[in-house]
Amino acid sequence: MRRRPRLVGLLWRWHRRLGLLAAFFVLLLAASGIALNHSSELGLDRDFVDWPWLSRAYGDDSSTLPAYQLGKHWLSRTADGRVYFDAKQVAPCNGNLLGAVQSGEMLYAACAEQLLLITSSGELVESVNASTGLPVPLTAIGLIDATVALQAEETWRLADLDSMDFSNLAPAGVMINQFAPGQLPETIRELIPTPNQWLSWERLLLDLHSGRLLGRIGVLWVDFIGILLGSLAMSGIAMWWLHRRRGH
Amino acid sequence: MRPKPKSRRLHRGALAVTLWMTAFTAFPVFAEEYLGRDDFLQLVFTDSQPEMHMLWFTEETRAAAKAAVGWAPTSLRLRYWQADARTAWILEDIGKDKPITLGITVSSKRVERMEVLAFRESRGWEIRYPFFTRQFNGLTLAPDGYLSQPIDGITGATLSVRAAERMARLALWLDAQVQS
Repeated sequence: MRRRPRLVGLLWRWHRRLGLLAAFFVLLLAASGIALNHSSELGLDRDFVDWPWLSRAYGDDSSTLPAYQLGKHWLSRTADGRVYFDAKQVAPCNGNLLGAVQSGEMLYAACAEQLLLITSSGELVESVNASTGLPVPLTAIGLIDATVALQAEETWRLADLDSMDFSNLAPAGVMINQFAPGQLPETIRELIPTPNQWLSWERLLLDLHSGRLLGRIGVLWVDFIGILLGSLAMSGIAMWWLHRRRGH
Repeated sequence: MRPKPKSRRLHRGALAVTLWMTAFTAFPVFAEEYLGRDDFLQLVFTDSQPEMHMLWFTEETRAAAKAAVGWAPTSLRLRYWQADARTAWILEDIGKDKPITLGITVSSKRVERMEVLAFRESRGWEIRYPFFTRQFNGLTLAPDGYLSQPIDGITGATLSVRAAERMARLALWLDAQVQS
């Protein structure tokens, strides 16, 4: 009958180890959960995080304004994710601005998760993203003759934006013209309103609490912590039960 | 030299894993994409092959949409898919800060199905669940531009719920335009 004390010892050892592993995250989840429960009273939805490195991690960088000159016009993207045609706001664009090209009368602005089709007078024709068939994340945009080519997963694809078909690969060895980013003229920059602060403490805490701050890995990690806490509860109950039976 | 006890090694291992995971905090945040265009179309057009069409907006049609449902897309053109009398629309609107993408099918002037294709906001993602989207099934556009029945909201997701309602109203209005 030495089996039961051995089982209790094993459970106790693993309960302690898993508890140690989970401790930091339990405290983090508890603190962020309590703060989120009172976010309005604490003003967390009205206070903004002023850490440029974190804004950069979210894909926004207000210290530089990426801009591309297409003919006489400039396309740029502000820190709050809006693309401007000179000083005229066009549309939101998800992800960093990777490049822009002009083919005929149409301008194309490529962000990591979105492609904007813009007229030569700065009107948005269409916004294309993964939900409408765009391969994402995009890493570059270029022109092969007059055809728009997009790079995603290190592969250049020809973009047929009438039929929304991105399945044709660019021929090997073909020249792809890309535009280099430039410095947005001060005269235009001054006319673009400085974006309001956008990363609130509430959003940061929500992303931290749900694990979304780390993308999919973070969500899976929070799931793992949940399983870990479940295991702790089960091992705790098992130890209590075995200890109670031993006492009788 | 005395070998390290096994439990000490395990504790150090656990600490290393913890630190390694916290080091990921500099990773960028990604949007939640639940359903792609092709998956959505396959889901809603199970027994027919839809054709893709484009609807162009003029200043007049945009003004008419705003007058009818209070909202119009900012782009000059919008794609939709049609098979027989059913139309499918992929619409995007901002809830609080980031765009929400919905796929909505309309048949006989009624919402047939709504799916959340992508959600990029930090809060309000509960609208993706069927308990919420099912409320739209069968609703029509009332003469005042609102839906024929009120939609139950979700605590903490008010702006996302409003965006979903706006998009449903616009899909019904757009369907009426292309069917007439």
